[in-house]
Amino acid sequence: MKRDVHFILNGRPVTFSVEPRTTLLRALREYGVTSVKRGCEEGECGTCTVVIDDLAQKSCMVLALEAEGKSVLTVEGLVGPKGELHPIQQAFVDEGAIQCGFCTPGMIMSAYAFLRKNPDPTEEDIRVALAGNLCRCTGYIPIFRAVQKAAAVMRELGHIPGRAR
Amino acid sequence: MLAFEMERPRSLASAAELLEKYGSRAMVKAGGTDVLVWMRKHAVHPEVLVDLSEIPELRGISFYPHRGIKIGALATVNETAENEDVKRYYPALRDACLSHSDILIRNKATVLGNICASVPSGDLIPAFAVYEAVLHVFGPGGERDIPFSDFITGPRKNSLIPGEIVTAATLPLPGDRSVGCYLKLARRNALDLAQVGVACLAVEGEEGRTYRIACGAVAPKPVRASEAEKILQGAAAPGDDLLEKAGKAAAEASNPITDVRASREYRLSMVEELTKRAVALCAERLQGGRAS
Amino acid sequence: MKQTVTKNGVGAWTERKYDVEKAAGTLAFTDDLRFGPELLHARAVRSTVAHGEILSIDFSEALKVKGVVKVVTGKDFVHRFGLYLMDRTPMAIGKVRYMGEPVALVIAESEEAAEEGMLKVTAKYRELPPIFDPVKAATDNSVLVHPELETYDHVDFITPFPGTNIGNWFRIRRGDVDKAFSEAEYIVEEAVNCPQIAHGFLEPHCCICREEPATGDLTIWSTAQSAFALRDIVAKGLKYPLSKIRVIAPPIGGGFGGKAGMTVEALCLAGAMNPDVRGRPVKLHIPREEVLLTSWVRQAYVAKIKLGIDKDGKIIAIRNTFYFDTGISAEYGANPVRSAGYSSTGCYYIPNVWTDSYAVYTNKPFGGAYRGFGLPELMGAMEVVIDIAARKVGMDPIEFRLKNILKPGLPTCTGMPMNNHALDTIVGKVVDRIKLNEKEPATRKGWVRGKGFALALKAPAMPADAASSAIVKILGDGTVELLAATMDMGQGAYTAYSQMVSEELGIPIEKIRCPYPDTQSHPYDWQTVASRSCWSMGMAVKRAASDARQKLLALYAEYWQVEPESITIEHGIVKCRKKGKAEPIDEHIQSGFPMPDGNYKGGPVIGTGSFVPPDVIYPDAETGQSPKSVVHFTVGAVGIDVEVDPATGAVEVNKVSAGYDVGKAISPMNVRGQIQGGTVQGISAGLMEGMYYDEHGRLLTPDFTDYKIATALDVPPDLDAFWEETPEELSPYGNRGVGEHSMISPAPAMDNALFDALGIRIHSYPLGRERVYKAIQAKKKGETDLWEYPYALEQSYKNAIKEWK
Repeated sequence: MKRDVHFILNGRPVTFSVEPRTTLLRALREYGVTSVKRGCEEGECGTCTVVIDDLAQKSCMVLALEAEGKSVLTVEGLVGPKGELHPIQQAFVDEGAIQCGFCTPGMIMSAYAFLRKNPDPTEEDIRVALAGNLCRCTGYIPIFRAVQKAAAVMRELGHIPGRAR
Repeated sequence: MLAFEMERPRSLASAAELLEKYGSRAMVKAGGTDVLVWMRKHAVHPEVLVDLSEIPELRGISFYPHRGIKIGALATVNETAENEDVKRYYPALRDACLSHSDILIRNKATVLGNICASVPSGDLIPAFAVYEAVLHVFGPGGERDIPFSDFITGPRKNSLIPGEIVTAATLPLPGDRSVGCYLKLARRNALDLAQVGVACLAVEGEEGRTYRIACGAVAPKPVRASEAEKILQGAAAPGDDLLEKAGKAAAEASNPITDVRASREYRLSMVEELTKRAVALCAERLQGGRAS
Repeated sequence: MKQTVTKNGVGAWTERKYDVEKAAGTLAFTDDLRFGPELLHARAVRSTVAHGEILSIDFSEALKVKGVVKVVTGKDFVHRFGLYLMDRTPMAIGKVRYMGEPVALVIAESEEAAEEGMLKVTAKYRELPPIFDPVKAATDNSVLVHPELETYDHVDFITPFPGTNIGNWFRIRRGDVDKAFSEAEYIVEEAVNCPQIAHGFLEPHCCICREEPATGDLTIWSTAQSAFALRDIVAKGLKYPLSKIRVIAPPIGGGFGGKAGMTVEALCLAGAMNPDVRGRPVKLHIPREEVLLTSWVRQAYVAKIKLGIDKDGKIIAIRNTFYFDTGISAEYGANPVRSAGYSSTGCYYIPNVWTDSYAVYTNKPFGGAYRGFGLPELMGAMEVVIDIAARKVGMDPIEFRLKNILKPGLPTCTGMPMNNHALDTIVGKVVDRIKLNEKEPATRKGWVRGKGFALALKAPAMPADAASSAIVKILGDGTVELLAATMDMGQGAYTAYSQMVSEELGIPIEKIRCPYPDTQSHPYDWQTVASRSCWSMGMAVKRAASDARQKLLALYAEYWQVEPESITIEHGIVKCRKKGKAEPIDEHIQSGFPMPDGNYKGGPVIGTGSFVPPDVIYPDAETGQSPKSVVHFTVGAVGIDVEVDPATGAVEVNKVSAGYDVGKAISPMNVRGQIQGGTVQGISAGLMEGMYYDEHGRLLTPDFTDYKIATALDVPPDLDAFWEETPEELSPYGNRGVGEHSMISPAPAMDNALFDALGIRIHSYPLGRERVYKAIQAKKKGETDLWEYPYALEQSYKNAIKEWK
């Protein structure tokens, strides 16, 4: 039996009508937020990673009804009003950290949550933070570079309030 | 996943009522990172999922200097790993938390969920064994405590009676000074189930130096390697010979299976090896004054 | 005079096409496509036995589930498909041949209803004895996987043997190996094995099919590397004309060969074409745990190599016997067998060659295209055997290789002369960069350190008539649309082509667009496989862009009344300095130019280009000889520095150096990406990947819980990726393929490194922790080699304590 769940999605209040078994992953995709991907639907690949109340989580492991009252962020929410890419997104593009692109949204959301808490990470920190996001194309190396670059840009912008989000 | 109804009770009492009402048709969920996977694979099919995540009294981690640390049923693995008191007083628990799955799953999975799933490879299980945790249970018969050594009865089996919910676990402070660690062997460096996991404590107490050793993923129930502990009793700086003996004793106490992750023989060898390392590491740390 | 000027032509480091959309999350993959409520969902019901006759399939309960619309079985869709050999049916008909083979398809209004329906279908089987061991299957005909093998159509260059389990047998017979062996000073004979492995792409297969009820026309949206090959295969299987089938290929989330040819589309069509369903689109999304049970895996192999070496260390003879375990279908798996076969002297010149390369049927999921296509298998064995041989004859492994290297001009095992390459340079650099000859102590306390090396090579493995074509359209705003049906699955093909077009037309790269393939609008291209696209489609793109340029220059020449040679196109502006002209390309290019005589001339400017390799001749069926068996070879080398924990068998990679002769790097960022990515994939495969079964044939590693691939924590801290550029003669810009090559040799390089570290030779992949530990224990007992045969695992499971009481 369907029930309503109310939460904030990429800054806007939404109401979804879902069955209890509907995962947040499937509910978001049904709604049109297709950046969250169905890579395995059992918590092993990370292509469904979203940020819920500042914590990066695999949305296939969250039931949609559990999102009640929370704030959910996906890569669509990182793009600015004029289409400007967030520094993390831009860094991925600049550093060749994207090949097929399927792991990219999840990887970016993991990096986003991580950099907000660790603005000046070591490469080892980055590896641990991204260990739950699989990538088969790039070999991860340009992704580490991109996260370092994004961290630097975000630290730079950080002193200007409202700029680094 | 097959359809189910979900209840999100706001109090322990309503949760217990629901479990009593639905009996075996219901399953309990905290973080859900095990239950959801089991349901997706059609290994379990509850008609009702009782979601505990809205029950306030199940949240939180509190430290009581004379009693120990109390971990609520809803405390996530990451919350526990990042807790200052866990860092300071329960290093084996912290190690176990950080070895569990990956940083994303750890934001959802709960420590007590891992314990209650009672899967032999559960990373938190050996840590709970060495800290001699006490599980606080709420159920139709009221409240009761279960010492951890009585809790897990077999693979995916524990001593909870239908309708009972584990609300928290208390891990008493081990002795005056203690150090600990959890070593895990897996097929790769991240996001993998343990082939073997060994938790070890070295405690400075009234009886002098004691060790507590527990091994996971190597028997139907967690193995408390008491023979190995006896061998090491009192040894402040156990030499290779003693470590060898202790390792062998831990292996004797284990009874692993062969599966796609590892063979029985390899697991037995690794229990020996990890036990030696864990004990050596703890002895070194206690020697070096790195303790609570 | 070069008539075009651009910043982002061939060789530039440029932003890649579609990366912005991928970062923004808006690029739509097949699973992201939106349809209305008319969309139906399909889920496969799968066999629970490895080999058996289907006695009955009861789906009466499934039909009662709310939302289930139809259940189809194999008997409802009797069509045989195959790229090279038509031995595949989308569902089992009469007989199941592997555990997990689809036996029915449930079609419902929602995915959840399809799932519920699937769980309610029950099938009964009369079990038949299965065969899992490929060597046994090849040499013992008591269990035949395809007793009807002689009834299957196949292409001329594939030779199946009815009455056996041999789906293909490729031979090389060159010179006189027996005589050479009898004269050899040293004989080295070794075997290596490797289980099946999976591609591990992050996006599972997904397909939507619709039959137009009034005309019978089919539309297929699918995660396909090759829209046109898919169309061809479906057309042949259904006996439909090509024009009745339209394939739309959205961007795919990783292919690696696993989405080549036809994968899940016939299964989806079985639903969409059913008379009770047709008209409504049917979506088949394969859940992760069913990916390996529905489509390609990389074949397992057992390789035996015998070398005859003279007293100077020159290899004078080689005898190769390769058993490729292709599971129940050789429709694609027949070809890696050939690819390994016609490369079976590896990077070496060996005058006397005898190769038998077999595709063997077993009752397991089926093999097909996988990055490297026979070469990781060949080199996985060859580069280990070469290392062993070097030590046996007392030579340094690098010196031994260089002494026998296939220099440009020398014949390969098919008699074809080797193309120009800089392998010597690459070897020198790799050896240097990992300090191969320096024995360094381990950096981790108690660990041991070793270094290993392996050569790599591959030619595009494709039919002699694999063709490409492209269309270049210049729009009235000066932008260009390029129709090239390569699938850009992340390797960056559209970026490379845009650079080529930019080079040929002088138009800035930002103004060049390359839409994803649609057989309705794009011209034909064979497939996006074989590392062929930048080369083959590159020729077509260059021709098409040049054609457009000629037409444009001719029009402007008449328009301005100047010689075409005096006109240049610079950053999108057409100039004639002599006449002081400089105009951006504008709507004249699509509507025509007002000529001096007052008439409009021109009309839309379209450039076209086609290419098919001009001189490839299939190797002779008996001897494997051909003056030109492949278009060219790309060669390279890998050096690896590892450390091993003797107490657990854990292996950590300190450093890798990998270099390939790519001819010309059209897009350096792409080339770097391919070498880095393929090297990590090769290391991952070598250290931790393998598909395992229990004694009943049930796959124990169907999903990422137990099929482990490298995570961020498994990547070497130091990965040196480089390339050399020795131009390829027949090529758009001197470039050769590189997409597959970096995957080929990390595994044997690691095996060689482990030998260096441990002093024992491991003959079985993957080099997992337990296996390495076993090897170390064996060495302590005085053993020199470790051989573990995956099919013996059945025995260990029977004997092991499986269930705790």
